Amino acid sequence: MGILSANDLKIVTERLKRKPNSVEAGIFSVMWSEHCSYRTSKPFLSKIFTDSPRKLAGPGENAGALDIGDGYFVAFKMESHNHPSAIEPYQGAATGIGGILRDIFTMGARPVASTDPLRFGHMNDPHSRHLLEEVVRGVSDYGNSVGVPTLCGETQFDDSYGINCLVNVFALGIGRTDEIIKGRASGTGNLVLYFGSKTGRDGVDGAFFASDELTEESKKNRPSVQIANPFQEKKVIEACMEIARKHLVVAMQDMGAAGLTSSSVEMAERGNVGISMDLSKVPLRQNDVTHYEMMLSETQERMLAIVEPGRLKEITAVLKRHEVDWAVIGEVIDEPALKLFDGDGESVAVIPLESLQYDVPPAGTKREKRDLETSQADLSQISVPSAIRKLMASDLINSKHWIYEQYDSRVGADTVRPPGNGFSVLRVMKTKKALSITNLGLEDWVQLEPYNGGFNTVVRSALEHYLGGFTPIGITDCLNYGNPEKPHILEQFAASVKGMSDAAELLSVPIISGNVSLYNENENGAVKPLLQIGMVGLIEDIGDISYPEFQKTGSRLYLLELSDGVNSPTVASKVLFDNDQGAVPRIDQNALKEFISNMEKILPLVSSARMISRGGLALALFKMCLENGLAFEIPKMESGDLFKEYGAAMIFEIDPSLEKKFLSLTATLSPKHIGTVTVGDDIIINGEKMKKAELIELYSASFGRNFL
Amino acid sequence: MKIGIGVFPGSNCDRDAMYAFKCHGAKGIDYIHYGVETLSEYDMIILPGGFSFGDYLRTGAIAVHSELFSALPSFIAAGGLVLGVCNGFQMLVESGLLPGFLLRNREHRFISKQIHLRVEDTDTPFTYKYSKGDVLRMPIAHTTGNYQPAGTSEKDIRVIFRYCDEDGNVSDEANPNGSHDNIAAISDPKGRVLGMMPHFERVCDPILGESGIPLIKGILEGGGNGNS
Repeated sequence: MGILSANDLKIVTERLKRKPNSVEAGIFSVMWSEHCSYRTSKPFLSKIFTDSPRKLAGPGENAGALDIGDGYFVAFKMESHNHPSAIEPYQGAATGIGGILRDIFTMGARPVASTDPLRFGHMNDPHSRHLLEEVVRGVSDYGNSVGVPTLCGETQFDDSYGINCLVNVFALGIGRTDEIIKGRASGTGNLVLYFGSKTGRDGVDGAFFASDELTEESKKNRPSVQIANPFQEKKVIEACMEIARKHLVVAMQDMGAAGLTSSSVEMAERGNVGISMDLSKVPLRQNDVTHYEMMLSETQERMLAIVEPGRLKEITAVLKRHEVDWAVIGEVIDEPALKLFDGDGESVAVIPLESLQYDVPPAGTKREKRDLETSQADLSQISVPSAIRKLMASDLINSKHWIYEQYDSRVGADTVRPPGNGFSVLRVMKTKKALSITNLGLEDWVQLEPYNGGFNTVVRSALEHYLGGFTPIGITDCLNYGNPEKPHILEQFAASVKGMSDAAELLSVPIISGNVSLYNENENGAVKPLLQIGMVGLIEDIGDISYPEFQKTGSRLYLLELSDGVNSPTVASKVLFDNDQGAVPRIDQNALKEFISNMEKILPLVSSARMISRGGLALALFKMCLENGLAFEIPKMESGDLFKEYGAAMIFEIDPSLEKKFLSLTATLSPKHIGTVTVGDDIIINGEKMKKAELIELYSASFGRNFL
Repeated sequence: MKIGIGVFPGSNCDRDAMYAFKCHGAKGIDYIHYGVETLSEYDMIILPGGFSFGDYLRTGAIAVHSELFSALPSFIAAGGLVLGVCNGFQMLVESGLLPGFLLRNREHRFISKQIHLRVEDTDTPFTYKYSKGDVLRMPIAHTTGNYQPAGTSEKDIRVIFRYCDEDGNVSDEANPNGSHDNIAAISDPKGRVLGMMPHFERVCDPILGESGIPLIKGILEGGGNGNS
């Protein structure tokens, strides 16, 4: 662990013109790990679409930041904590939340929302149940304690996640644009200020561990998993908010992966300056932490700031009031290098920053398309009521309130729409604006056709925001794949990222931050590739939000499809036939553009609208009648079409008096009339009645039964 | 009405309470550091929700050893009002200023959801704007909210709110956390120290829900009989 490969050592030796000592070798190897250097993924990520007139910070900063007007910005980002969570799920998930929140508040934005998309093996496997229970408890304990509401998530199950569970965490913060803090060191003689937890040995080498496959040996890596202290984080948050408000720092960055090393090096690199630090000044939890461990420790809840000497008194007074420990450990120097000393002034390490640039060939470069078998399930002969009942009870569909009721979703008093049904909504305090947040990952589709899978993920998410009245303003991604040294995995990664980026560009929604997690793989193979996106939408007037719920009886229901209608794998095919094969729909880009350009005229005619997602039309309609005591009737539809999962298709509820106008505006998109909104206790499909109450019971109670 | 919101390291509903009161016109309202020596300038102290000092030991166990808590008994004796919400209620019980105990929820898990409350006692300076039997919708968010009077004579407990269903029926199904007799809020015998688990401060404007507004308005208008 933590040793440079022979080839890397050769490069380092050439660049330094001498052999590195052990501290230097440790710094090189951690900065060149996949986790920190993105050595494999960089060539693909450098091409993604990131343009936006709102952009204040993009990829490469601690988080992406967008101007939302009225003097405010939002910062958001998603990260994975997969490897630690697979080994030590409680701490892995908790520190995942802690880490992503720090990326947000280090920019001077108060974290006001988090979300947590998760993937596990099926719940009939005791190990997967254990992982889920502990991950949820970790998210719950940390998020609730720091007072950041958890607004949504997306939990799905597949055998490929049985050992390598995926724990992705998204966080969003709001700040004043004149208080934004960046991670760019500057000003020779400015001080390097360390604050937060004292450094211990926890998480030393964590970044290597996150860059390797999981094996039986991995369990021995438990000491590489960091320990969470949400109380410390809460104090650091409040201190940082006051620091931002009073403009007390030149730059700031949290100590995340590779701790003191990456935070100091990255701030220096961005500012094209150097940093010198006296390691004897680093606050330690125990006396016997070596210099190597100090530089590589991933002790949580630590921050590094660049401070003008004249502001030191003020900033330390703030830290004292919030009961946060601090120490001045170094200064900014002219020479672009990282220079480390011990207490006697003796040199511990000298590394020119230029030599740290990783520009040698990445671990994997070969790409290879792999043809998958695509024998689809035949849904034409199934019994509709029985299929609906099975879907309602399935963990791929049923309500996850057992999970999200363990998360405080309303602390902060900004939550307008909590988790549970479609997009979540957060208001922007002191303005009329609100933000919508969604998470989506289509692993079955990305596995089958990576480019199309990535493209669909962005389009479906964006349409969900549009239908709610929001304009999508940005995307953060979390890219979870297997070992990229295998050509078909690299192909999955590269093609799906391209698909995501092309869709983002088509819709002008920039990808402003993200994270890559590779090597999610074990003896049994790689995980299904999860391209998870968090999308954020903005609405200028909170009163204009439209929720995806039926409004009144008698409304006519229309289906409008913007994709090519091929049969994709669906929850129905998975639950009823254990079949995850199929083709991946292609979005009809002309139809999509036409719909978006006419949306301003179409949407005001619509009483409610919803994207079709997991479970197809049947499930989308069911979710539309959860809130308002209404139901629906579909007089005649093929069973396959009821459960079909489209690339981009939506349901519109139209008041009969507006139907003509709606049809004339959407004529070229050919919406299909499918049924009617009704009142009463029964859902009626093809003449067969189902009690709504019975379906709601199956939908809401099934998931919790896994844990009785 | 001069109101102080007690802030402990780890408090996380202090800003929400400030916002809710300011929305309804509160003027003299400040944050108070837990190390405050005297509370004599205030008419009411709010103890907000959160995880004071991390609550790693037991909810409220460290907060009650603060200077602020040392000053509370004389503040109450002089006629001051105290309103503890969630972690604040836990502190009031831990300190003995309110009777009984708060245990971990029946299911031993954190619960965040909307519940319904039935108003049981309107003869306090906090609840006089409600009518007895009113049903309120408010969120709860806690792991330790299972109220048990253990050892306290039931006639010494003034029950202010009970968990109920949307029609006002107090039943076991409507009890989210296992509290004795569905108790969600209690006060001292004089009705001047109130402890409640539900977060009234999160339902004080039209966008989020309005069932907490009568409580805030009642306090700010300074009416109600606290000495019954």
